[in-house]
Amino acid sequence: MRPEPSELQELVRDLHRQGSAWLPAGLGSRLDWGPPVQASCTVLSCAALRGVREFNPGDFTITVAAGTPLVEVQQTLGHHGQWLSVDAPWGDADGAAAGSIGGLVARGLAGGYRQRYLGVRDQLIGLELMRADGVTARAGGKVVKNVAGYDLMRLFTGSWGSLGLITELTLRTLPQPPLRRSVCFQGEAGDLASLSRWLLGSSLSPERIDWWNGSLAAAAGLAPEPLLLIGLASVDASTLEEQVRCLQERSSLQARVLDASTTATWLALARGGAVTPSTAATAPAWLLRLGVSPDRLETLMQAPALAGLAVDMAAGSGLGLAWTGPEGPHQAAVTSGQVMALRSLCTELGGHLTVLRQPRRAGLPAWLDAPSRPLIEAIKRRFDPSGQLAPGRLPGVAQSVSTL
Amino acid sequence: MTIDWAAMERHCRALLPARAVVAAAQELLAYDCDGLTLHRAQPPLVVLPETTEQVAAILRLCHRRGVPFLARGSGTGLSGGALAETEALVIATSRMRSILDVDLANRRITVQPGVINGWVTRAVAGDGFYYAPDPSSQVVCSIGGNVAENSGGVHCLKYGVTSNHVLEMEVVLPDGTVTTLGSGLAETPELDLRGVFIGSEGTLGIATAITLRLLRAPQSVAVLLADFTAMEAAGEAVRLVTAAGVLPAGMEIMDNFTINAVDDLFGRDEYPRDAAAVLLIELDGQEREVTAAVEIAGELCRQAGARTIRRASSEADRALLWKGRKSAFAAVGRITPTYYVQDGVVPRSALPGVLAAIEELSRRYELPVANVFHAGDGNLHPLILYRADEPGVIERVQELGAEILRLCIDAGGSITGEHGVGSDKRCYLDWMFAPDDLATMRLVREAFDPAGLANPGKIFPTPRSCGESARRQVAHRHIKVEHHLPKEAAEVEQRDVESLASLDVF
Repeated sequence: MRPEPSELQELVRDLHRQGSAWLPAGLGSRLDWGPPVQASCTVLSCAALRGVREFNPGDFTITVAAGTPLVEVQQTLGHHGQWLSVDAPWGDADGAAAGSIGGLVARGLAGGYRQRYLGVRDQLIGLELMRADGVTARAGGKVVKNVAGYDLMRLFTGSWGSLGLITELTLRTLPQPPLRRSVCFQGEAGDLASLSRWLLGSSLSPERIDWWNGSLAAAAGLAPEPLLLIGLASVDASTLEEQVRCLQERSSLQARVLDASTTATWLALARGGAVTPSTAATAPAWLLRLGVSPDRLETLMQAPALAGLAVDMAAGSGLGLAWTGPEGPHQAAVTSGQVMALRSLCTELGGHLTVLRQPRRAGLPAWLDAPSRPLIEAIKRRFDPSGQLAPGRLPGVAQSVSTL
Repeated sequence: MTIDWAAMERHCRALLPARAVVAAAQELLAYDCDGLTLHRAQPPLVVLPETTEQVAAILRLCHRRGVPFLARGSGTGLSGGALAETEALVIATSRMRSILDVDLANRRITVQPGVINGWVTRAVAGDGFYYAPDPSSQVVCSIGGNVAENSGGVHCLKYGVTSNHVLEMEVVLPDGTVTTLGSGLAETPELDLRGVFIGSEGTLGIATAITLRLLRAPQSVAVLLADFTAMEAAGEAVRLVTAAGVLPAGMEIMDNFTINAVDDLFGRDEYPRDAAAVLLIELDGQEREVTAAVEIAGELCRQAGARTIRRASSEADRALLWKGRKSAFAAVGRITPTYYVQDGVVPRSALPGVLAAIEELSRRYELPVANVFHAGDGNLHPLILYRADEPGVIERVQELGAEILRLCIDAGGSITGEHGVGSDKRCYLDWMFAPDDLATMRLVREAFDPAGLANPGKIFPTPRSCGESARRQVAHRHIKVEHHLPKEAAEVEQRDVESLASLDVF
């Protein structure tokens, strides 16, 4: 369903009276990511909640309806030399599957820009939501610094629709960096690890330090060797040159300086290129969110459990994505057993693995139980006492396999 | 409900070493207020646990007996969040001062809640790292308190506030359960209860171990000081610098009143006395980048109408330029013995208009207001100056304070940017939020603390604390107002004492 703003509240109240299950959604481009929800669940898209509600360039904040596509927000900001410092979601983000800003926040998954600009949760300064009972509530505000009331912005970031429908967001914006330059290095994992270690311990402040595995490099038409893609930004050209020189001197590997259009192409590729992110037959059979302690990334990147997966990890945070091609005869290579082994490895390396997409019969829980599971369930009971919202999808609570 | 405090004392003594239980009236006096001395209430009992297990045992005891409690860090908070206004057990974390783990390879550190903010940086500075959030009270305030208040600081313009820097927390819930929120990584596939806990002002539980993100110290730092003949021009300079893509570590403005107070304090004209505003910009990063940014920022200040511009890059020269700002509150304190500080926030573009309106209010109420503020993020700290012995002045001060907050809200801002709501501003929270908003926030409280024992009465307006008709002005009429250093300052190591002398807790 795609209610108009004027119909939304009445619709939600009806669903509440009937005790019907429903799934809060953005544009519906990534509906099947995460734990499968009950089949009978009504999808309630906020696609009709669209557009910029308030933008005063001098304040460096923007208020948008939750169903506004991220690309549209970026375009509006771009006209004023500003941007939202987040990565687009994985999969055809500029095309038909451009996700909404609400969806991006509900999943809460940051990309490589986290290195310099922090995550999705850190950009959010205000929120309007609709609860399962149809009550509208706000938290935060329109100023970048604000500690009045509880921080529901963070509670809702990465809540996957389990607590309510996000209807409006206020975010902080930044001026676009006047100058950008990217450098890439290819070579052995050990060499890349040592360069990345040095860079993370240096006073340089790159926008991103992305570590690709050989499969992803091959997809970019390069030798199938691991690659480090370093994005630099500055107000000053000579600073950029100095930083590039500095990187070249640090590493015995060949540095390749990329122009803006190559960088854009490569970054799009690492976000899945034109691949449809969900639903279609061309969507990836497996799409995984990986996280490890940053100092264990080298071990992860060399793990046999990554075989058959394209991998893009942020070196500073230890977070990233891994994916395969679509389900089909050639995809027999990656099995549930392999992903389970990968999950154990991530845990052992101080992190976790989230299954965003899996073949129909794989049956893996999207995430495992968090230590605070009882508290997470207590929050859920308060916000959604009838358990209407996204049944089966509550971050930090593993689904039992039998319910899958 | 009547609480048998003698019995509580016995139970606490059974759980904790003798020195960890404070029940003598003269010792309890030290806990009767926090940094906001406007409100005072002596708690019936204070405990000073040293371990997570002890905190959990105490909270289980409170839970069993239905006894309210409140956690207290260093007592430097400015919103009365650690005030035991209703009878409550005070759990002071000032003996939980161990650094539990330093993990430089992953740029993180785990500390107990009583660890002083400044100690975190001190622990890793030798390796070239630091902890970014830097409230001005950082030589005294605790990390646990920073978590409770989601504290900011001068450098949060570029680096963010506490919530941007906490990865994981061990938390004791109000029923005594110990749990973990977040993981050592920036993202964890679980509801972000860590995020909602930070800034909850002690109403959701007590954090007993906190893992923080560390940053690499910048290669170079420079400070630029510009003076303007109009506040609007200083505001324009801030706008131009921000829009140019230069992201300063901090931008601070002092108004003419403060400038003169500082010059009086120093006994010389540190700043031009006729300047309407002085703007301080700190820039950090790679040396070459900083040089370029200083160039750009200086040029933009001139464009905006700066009269004179001073620059400093060496540590000593930088300290000199900062000195006036750091002494601003002490300087103002010399003019009148007492002042009341607000913490409103406005959208950056509204700054000049709001400042002009504050000036107008100041005239109307016949109370001087000094403005020193974080210009980069629109966080104002108007200081209302008054003499406590003047009859009826407290009511006037609080009315003026409320009107200033009203201005901030009308401009699209907030009643608090970094000090928290506490007991001081709870009666204004419903100026910002509708009943449904507050009810939704309370759902979180009910999930964490169904019995309502953790720091009761704080943050949310209640009929009892904010009686419908009277609430706009009442709150705290009976108490003498003064500004003094928090008592825990005495516990801080001797080497901190010198810096305390110039401490400005805002």
